[in-house]
Amino acid sequence: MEVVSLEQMEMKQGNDYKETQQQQKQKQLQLQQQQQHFHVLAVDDSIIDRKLLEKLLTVSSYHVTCVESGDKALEYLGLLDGRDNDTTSSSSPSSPSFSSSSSSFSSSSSANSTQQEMQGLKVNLIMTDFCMPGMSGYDLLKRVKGSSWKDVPVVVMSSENVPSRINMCLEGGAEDFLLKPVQLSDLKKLQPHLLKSLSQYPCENISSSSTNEDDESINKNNNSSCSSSSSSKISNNGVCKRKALVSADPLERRSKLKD
Amino acid sequence: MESTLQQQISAMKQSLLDEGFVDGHFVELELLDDGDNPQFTEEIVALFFADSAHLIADVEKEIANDPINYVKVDKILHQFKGSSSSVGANRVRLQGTKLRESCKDGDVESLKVSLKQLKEEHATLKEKLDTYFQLVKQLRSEEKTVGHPNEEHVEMLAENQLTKMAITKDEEVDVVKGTGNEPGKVVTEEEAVKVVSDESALIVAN
Repeated sequence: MEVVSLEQMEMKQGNDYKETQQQQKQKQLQLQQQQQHFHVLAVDDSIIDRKLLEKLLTVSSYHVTCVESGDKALEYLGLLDGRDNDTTSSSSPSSPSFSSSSSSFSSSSSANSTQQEMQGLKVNLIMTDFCMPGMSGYDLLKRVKGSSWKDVPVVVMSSENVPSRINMCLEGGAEDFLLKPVQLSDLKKLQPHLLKSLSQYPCENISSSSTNEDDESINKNNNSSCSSSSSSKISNNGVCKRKALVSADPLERRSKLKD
Repeated sequence: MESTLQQQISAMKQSLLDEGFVDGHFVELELLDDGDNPQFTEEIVALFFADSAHLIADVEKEIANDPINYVKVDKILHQFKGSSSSVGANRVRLQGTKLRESCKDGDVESLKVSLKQLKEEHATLKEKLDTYFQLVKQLRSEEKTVGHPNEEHVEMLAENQLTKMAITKDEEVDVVKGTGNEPGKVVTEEEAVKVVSDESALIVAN
């Protein structure tokens, strides 16, 4: 009969604990590395909200480009003048070149498609305000969804909690709807949407072969937050077509915001 | 361990919250102040005051017209509501909403009174936050000379971590710096500090 000393058992427990810790740390590191490759296009006419969004996204390790209108967003995506890249084989739109990844985009008229192709313009997520002068966030959403960028998740934001508006956006293809002011916890809930978009850019991923695996494990961790995010923004009148799970916290916070 | 200045700042922040000058979102903003940009909150608040001063002036101009273009006023006040809520300027936001409501009544006199109140709230908040940020700035420069406060914090957390990792269900443990040769549950201080630093980094990022 083999006797295992208490010390040995405790040592094994300690080692197992350390291993799990290590695994968890590795996963976190992988996630952070993937996140650093995420590029978010933020659209908002308010300079204050742009500054806030830029900060929130940067702190969350994303690259950000902020633009002040739907038109500027379309220009950035190369969709102005109804130009669309669905018919072309190249996935990079011919549009003015952009250098920095955390910046406010100011349009330049010189098209530089070679540089564009080299840069491989990619956008993993579009976050847009709903109420904007000129093109609304909803209009932008529809334009994006009808273009070669249609697979990019779009999240709409608004300072007003109007269920019909929320539903309209979700029906129009928005991934999620956030109430302003946006907080860090809201961005954490967007993680699953961004991870979904990784499959669009396989050559950009660090570990493309293990993406699916990571997705699964990460999605499992994020499942509760993912399923609660959309429905909590919708009022309780049952019009919501998304998942029915509701988490109490976002609702409480939302109702506090209402005047 | 908190300095008097730190206590002063905490007290002022608490009173700003208690009196409704700012709300939870202001606190959220301060969480975003980090090594890269320790003045983020101050900057975004300054941006707000500059922007909202223009909006208030625009409203004043519109209200002086006859007839008043209420659609335009409402648009301006909608913008105002958005930016004040984005920086957590609670009382200012509420007063802005009151003004928006009184537009619907069409009573020009009460409108002008409401606007005056908004300007007062706006000025009061600016004064209070100017003072607050001055204190914060002072504290930051104090910290630079004394030494990075986070180091002390990390050390404290490391001690806690040592205790946490050493304690099993049924035991009480004296936290003793081991030699590394003890079997089982001894964790080196380095390891503990690393775990804690990682956790702190995550907390900051979160």
